[in-house]
Amino acid sequence: MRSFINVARPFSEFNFLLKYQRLHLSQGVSSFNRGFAISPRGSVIRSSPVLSYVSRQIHNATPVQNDLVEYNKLLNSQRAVRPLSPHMTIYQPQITWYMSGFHRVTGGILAAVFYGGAIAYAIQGPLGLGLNSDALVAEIATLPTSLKLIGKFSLAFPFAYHSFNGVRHLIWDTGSALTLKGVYTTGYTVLGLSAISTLGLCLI
Amino acid sequence: MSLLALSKNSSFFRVSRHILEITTCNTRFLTTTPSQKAQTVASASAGSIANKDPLVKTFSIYRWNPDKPAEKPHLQQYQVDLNACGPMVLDALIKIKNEQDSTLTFRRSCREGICGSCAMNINGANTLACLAKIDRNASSTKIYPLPHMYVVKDLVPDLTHFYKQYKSIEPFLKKKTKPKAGEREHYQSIADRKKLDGLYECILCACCSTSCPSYWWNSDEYLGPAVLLQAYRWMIDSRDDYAQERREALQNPFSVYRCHTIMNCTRTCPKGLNPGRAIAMIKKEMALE
Amino acid sequence: MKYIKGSVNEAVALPPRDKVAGSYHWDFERLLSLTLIPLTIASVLKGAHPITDLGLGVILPFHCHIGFDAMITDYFPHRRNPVLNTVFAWGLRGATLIALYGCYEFNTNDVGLTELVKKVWHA
Repeated sequence: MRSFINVARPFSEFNFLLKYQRLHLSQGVSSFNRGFAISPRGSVIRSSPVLSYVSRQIHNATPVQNDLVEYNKLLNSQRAVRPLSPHMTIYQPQITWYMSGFHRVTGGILAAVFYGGAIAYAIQGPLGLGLNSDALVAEIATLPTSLKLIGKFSLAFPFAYHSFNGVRHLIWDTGSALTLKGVYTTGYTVLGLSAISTLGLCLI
Repeated sequence: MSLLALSKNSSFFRVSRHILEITTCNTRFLTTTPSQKAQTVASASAGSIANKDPLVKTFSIYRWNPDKPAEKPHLQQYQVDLNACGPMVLDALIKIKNEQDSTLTFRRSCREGICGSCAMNINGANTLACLAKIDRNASSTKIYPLPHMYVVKDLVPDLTHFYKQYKSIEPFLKKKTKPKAGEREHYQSIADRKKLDGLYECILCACCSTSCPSYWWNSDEYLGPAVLLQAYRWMIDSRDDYAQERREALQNPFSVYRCHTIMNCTRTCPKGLNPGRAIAMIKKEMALE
Repeated sequence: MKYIKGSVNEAVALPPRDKVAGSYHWDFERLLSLTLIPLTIASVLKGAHPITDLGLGVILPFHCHIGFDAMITDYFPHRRNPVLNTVFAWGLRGATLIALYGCYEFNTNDVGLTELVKKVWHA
């Protein structure tokens, strides 16, 4: 495990530290040593308040308060130009996130159709659209069989997939099937059941 | 399983090493493999290192230089002879750094899958480079930094925020009462200790969190699988008295509930842990409160 | 999140606690999803019935609302897109209310949700 020392140091921090170490060593050993501690770097805390504050800061590997602002400014200026590593474009297609994404997409499509229909029906009064179930059924009856089949498929498959995957999510919420094996087994089951149900629904 | 067995029975030693090799996918535990034995025999007779035809494969590695920030990140190709290189992706990276391009920058330390430094995206999946075997049949290997992280240089991501999130869940034992005089240890039954198996082994490599699409979109406030696994580890530790407070701290729409059970985390964990299940357990415990 | 508040040694501040937005929301979401299962099966097997239609007409809009709300929170969180988040959130609330009203009207004045699906399917 890595320690909590800031790994994202600006490249000039080394120069900051060198600057203070040079200042440090040039002072010489004070004759008023009230007590001292040896740091890992082997230097000695001076008894002078300002310099002992400086040395303690170096021993804890953080710059002095009045340089902290400059340090952060430099760090943030470096952070501002850093690129974001690629994610969706390079991540391996896996059943895990592909099925989850498809669950969301199918949910969104079905909900959009449902909302569209319900809202259109609700606001048709002032608009005089004349929407009712008979008109819709009559309109669909005029369509060729191929289009009807496409329409059935585009409603049946998202509905079947979202329903079965929804059940899979509820099973997960109880705490079961949350191993890798469980995820893959239930995943393939959902895909199989969705295919069969879609076929069934399209044929009736 | 006494020391007597270890010293007396060398086959026990071989078997345990073999088990270690299988569980950690690391061949270094076996003292000699049959092919190595054959090689040493052959070299002894031939008087030279066994010659294999060079098996040259391409490594496409993400590069970005902070000293030239205007230059866009790009993939750089390197050719490596796999027969003159160790079996793991980290071996190839080190070989490239030593022999071809010393400016290639990446984190690494233990080379045995325990420090978590070399976490990166290899052929689309997040793993530790020191544990990922080079695919000898594929023509090329793609190496990217951990996804959706700000890149410090080449394959090095900025994990500052990840560590800050880990700190926010207070990953240490908290007691409400002081220990009684004379009682120094916090006693824990074997059954309670078993609950921590599969949770304490996390090396905080960040492979799981950076594989989670929810963490990609909301790393600011969603804690991510790694941190939540540790939060659960402290919640169910029988020695810890603050389980309820730990759960209450997560009562907001983001810290836990951005998890939509995508399960990329469990799929990618190089140590075989199950953060997805831990998060589901947290949600279950929080649901009943 | 290029600018990180504080150094690596300061913990991230967790958002303010709110059980309604936290575990209660999660419980409610699962409850709705759970009730949809018997409701859908009943409507498929038994056909049109005023109670199943009423149930679907109330629970489906809420289920869709929660789904859309999750998408808004995921992709347009308030801390990152305050304006878009507010616009979408309130737009969604309005749409759900109108959809609820539409379902009620359809169930009352027209054939009802289950019968509609049946008729459209066999058109």
